[in-house]
Amino acid sequence: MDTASDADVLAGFRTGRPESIAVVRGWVQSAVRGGNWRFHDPEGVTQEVLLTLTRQARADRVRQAERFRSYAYSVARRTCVTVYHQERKSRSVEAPEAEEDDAAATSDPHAEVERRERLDMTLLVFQRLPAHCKDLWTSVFIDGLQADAVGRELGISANNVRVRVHRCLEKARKLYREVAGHV
Amino acid sequence: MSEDDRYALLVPWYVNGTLAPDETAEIEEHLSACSSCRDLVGLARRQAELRELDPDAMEHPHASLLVQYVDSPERLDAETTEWIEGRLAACASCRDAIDRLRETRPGEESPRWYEKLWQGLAATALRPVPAAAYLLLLFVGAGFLLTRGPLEGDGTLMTAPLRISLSGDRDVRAGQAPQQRIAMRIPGSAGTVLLELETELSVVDLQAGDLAFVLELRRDGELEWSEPRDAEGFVVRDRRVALPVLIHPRRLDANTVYQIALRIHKPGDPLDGQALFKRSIQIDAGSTGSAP
Repeated sequence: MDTASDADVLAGFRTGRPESIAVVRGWVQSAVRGGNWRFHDPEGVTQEVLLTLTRQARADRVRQAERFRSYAYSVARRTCVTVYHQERKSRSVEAPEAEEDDAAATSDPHAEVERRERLDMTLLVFQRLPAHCKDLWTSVFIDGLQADAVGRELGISANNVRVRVHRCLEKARKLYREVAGHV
Repeated sequence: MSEDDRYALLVPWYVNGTLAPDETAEIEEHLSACSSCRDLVGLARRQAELRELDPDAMEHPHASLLVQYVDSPERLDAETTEWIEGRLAACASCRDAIDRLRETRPGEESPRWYEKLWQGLAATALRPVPAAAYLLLLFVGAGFLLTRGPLEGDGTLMTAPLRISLSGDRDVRAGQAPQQRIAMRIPGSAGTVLLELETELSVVDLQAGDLAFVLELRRDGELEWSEPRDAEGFVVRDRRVALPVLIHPRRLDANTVYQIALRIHKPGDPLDGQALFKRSIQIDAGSTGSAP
């Protein structure tokens, strides 16, 4: 199996072939165990990565089958960072009690997982926007200000604000396409 | 400006609910016939979902960005890179995550235990010593092992030591009375053990250069051994400052609890005597050690 191509491994992984799953698990474990992350539950992190990869593979979102190993490794490293932040926060003396996993409590856990993935992608797009777009997003979508109010803050006309926000929205649209292509 | 453009400009304000009622009615009528504007509304609604996020999450660079920053920085534009670096300067856990990502780049195997040991030794005060000098120390150190105390800090090795990281006692850090919990049981049959005492010091504290320390070994409160240490002996391990200490379990009594402490040594200063690290260890008579 070691000599199988990434595309073969992906095809087998998508259909649940045990030897393909074992190969992918090996890739994931090398990322989870290799970075001295000191996770409370490294096997749990491995499982989380495998679930993400399963969802992506079955939804046909792995764009470059011949680079599946790199993709798996990238997903594993991203998950390691996210879990690392969560565990550090929960270990903090002043951290509030850990919240229950909402996916377990909702009536539709699949929808909840999709909602979280969508939110995660939106956060990534937001962080890649230029600084002036991030500021506008905060005023418009988080603080919910009118165009006139934003204009007063920035010292420009309401119409100018609308044009700037529209341009930022088009930038966000372009980033979504780019991010989706690399997810 | 076309009608579609005019309505497109109003979409974000429709989504954030700040349009006047007549404008809202007008745009809703337009949306029923314009798929392009409906797409734009969907996109704007996704931006509005940012309200659901924890503000703290908005401040941490997204995991994908950190991975890109390490693995393929050329794919990030200059402004995003600058933003990430600004956040890294303010976020210790983000910096730690970067350090861990760098430890294993894509396609690399994680370092083997002997490679990690070498990296650990190279980070001690013996960093400048070349390999040949290490061999000389091994030969000369055999004599020291027979004459020096049970704790060593100079990296004298006969065989690869058992490496153990030991974090400080939280109760001590909080200023409460130390507990007698045994932090680590060390096999009495181990030749040498490299203990890394993880302190609460920061790199900045060490760089200030005005602190001196004393390492102590006590049994039942009685001082068995002590030795001064300076800032040179410390290592930075995962952004924590640790003091590597070699111990020789065979020179200590089996089934006996010892207290290892690292204190500030600054006579006349209010900090003098303050413990930066204080834990109990027990030397087991058996051949395998474990954390309790």
